[in-house]
Amino acid sequence: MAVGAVVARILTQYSDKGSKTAQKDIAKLGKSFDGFAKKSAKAFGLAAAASAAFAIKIGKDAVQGAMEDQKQQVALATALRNTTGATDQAIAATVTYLDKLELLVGVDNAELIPSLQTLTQATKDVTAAQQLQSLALDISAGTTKDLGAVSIALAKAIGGNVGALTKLGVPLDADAVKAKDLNAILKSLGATFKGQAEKRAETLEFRLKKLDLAFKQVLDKLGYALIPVLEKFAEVVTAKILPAVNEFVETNQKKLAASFAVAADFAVILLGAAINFTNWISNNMGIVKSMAVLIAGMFVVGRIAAFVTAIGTITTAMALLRTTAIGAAIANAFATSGVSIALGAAALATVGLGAYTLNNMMKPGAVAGKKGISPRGNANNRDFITDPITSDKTLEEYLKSINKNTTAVNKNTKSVMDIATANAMKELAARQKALSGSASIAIGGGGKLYGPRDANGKIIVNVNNAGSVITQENLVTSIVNGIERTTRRSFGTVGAFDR
Amino acid sequence: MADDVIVLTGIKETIDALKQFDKDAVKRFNKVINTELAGAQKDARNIISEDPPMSGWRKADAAKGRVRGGKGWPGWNAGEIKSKITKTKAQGKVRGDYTTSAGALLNKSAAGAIFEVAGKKTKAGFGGGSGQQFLRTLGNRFGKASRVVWRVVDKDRARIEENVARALEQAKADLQKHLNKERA
Repeated sequence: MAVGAVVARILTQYSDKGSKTAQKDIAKLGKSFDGFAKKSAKAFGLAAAASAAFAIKIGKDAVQGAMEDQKQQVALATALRNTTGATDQAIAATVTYLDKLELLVGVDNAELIPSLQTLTQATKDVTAAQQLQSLALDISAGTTKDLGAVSIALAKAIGGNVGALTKLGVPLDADAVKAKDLNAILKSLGATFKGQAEKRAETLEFRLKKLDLAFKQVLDKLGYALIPVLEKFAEVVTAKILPAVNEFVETNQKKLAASFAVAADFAVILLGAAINFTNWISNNMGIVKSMAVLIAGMFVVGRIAAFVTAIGTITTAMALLRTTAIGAAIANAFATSGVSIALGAAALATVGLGAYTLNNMMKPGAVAGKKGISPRGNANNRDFITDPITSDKTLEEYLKSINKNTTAVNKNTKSVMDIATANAMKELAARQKALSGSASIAIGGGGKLYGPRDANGKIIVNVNNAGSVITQENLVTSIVNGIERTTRRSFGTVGAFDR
Repeated sequence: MADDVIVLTGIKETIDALKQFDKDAVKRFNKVINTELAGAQKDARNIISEDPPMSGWRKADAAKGRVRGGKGWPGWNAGEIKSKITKTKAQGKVRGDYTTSAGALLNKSAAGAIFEVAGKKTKAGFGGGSGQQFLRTLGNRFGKASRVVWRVVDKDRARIEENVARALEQAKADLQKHLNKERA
């Protein structure tokens, strides 16, 4: 259509393209939302799963750490009791000391506890053992030797075996070694390695280790809290659940086996049904294809409303099928396999051109027991017959739906015209009133004349114009004169009326 | 202007369906529409006079344009105006749930469009400007705006609607008949 042209439409076609586009957009938006929701749920799910996994890991690490720590502490406590006769309070104080030392020097309790245990066994005194452990830590830091090895060497030296320190490669005062003066040796070692452990603890490596150890201590606390719960759970499982499961299996083992056997049989039956359905489809591919064409056509045309209406006729169509001898066989087939397709066909068959296709398939003369049905095929090559559907209801519905929009538009058009007419009449009345020169002009309200009527039933209009009462004819003359006066002022003589 | 045009639905669907069965019926339907459009086109062309509506309206386009974005005032070329009053059945661009032409008259020339719609938006007042004078004179001589194609359509609308609606009903009846025949 030309751009910029004046267009006077004579025929106008209604289009619902906008609605369809909007529906598509809304559907698309809905899908986007669904997708977003799914992704969000998945993401949240992953986060939740990760959180749960992390929580489980923390719990597991905590319990494992606590169990290890508990095992070492039990060993230390036993050693302290056996060697020094330490009380529970003394043991608790030692544990606290070790925790603090751990964070101070950045060495794990797993190394500190065995070290202290070794030295305690050698010295038989907790305080002396703690002092020696402090020296052992300095030596270990200064020589990069393992704390356990240094502690053992010190313990051996206390036992008189100074050579163990020599084997360790630690520089010793030769006179003290020769004299086997342990105090001098220790004093010499203390002077040599003084502050090594503390200095090492200030390096980045050991500061990070201290952070790790602090975290492990927290985990150990959590683990100690969880251990009783797990112990309780273990007790319940051992005392109640396992015996109950055992009893159930022993009592029901035959029934369980029988149930599995039934389930297997059922699976076989299902498989058989699926195979039968596949056979039905392969034997009736013509019907399936026709139904697919009909369904596709239905949705392309967009006659969903008509489709819904048509569903009401399904019952009739199916009853019709069942009344025939062959129809019964078909109904049986539908009931077993192709019922949904048949229902769709019956519904679609009542809609517009759909009736054409299905009725061709079902026209009289079709023969039972034949395969390869096609609506365009040989009339004798069909596996069922029935009377054609003769109702035109669907086409009527279709046309009615077409006319429905026309009626609605016409109704709106009328209402617009009514409004325009009313406005025009009001404007006319106002103009007449202005032209009459009188505010009390006696011609109707709302565009309708009123007043006394003559013998013919026509209204006699009496107007009080400039103080004189005139007839209807004179009123017209007066109005025309008024218009002429007005137009002369505006257009000269151009606006004169023909009389 | 034809404010209350008839809006038909199902023309395209009916005709498309009918094409499958009876092309002659489709031709008959199209003939009715074409006849009505041709009649309206002829009436609209007859409104255009050989002489310009006003003595000052030159027959040739302005040599040096000052209005219409430099194009100048269009000359009154009756032949061109008439030839550019055309009929169409082309479907307009559909932007939404809207009506689109299935049959329409077009007034495509610049002079014809001015003659058609001058004074529709800007009412003739009492000012002394040339534009106001133009509108007043045009209004006095040829009536209010909608002077060519819209006037014809307004005048013959009832008849055209009746004939087209009857043709459409006939097309539907033909379609129904063919559907029944196919079923039988």
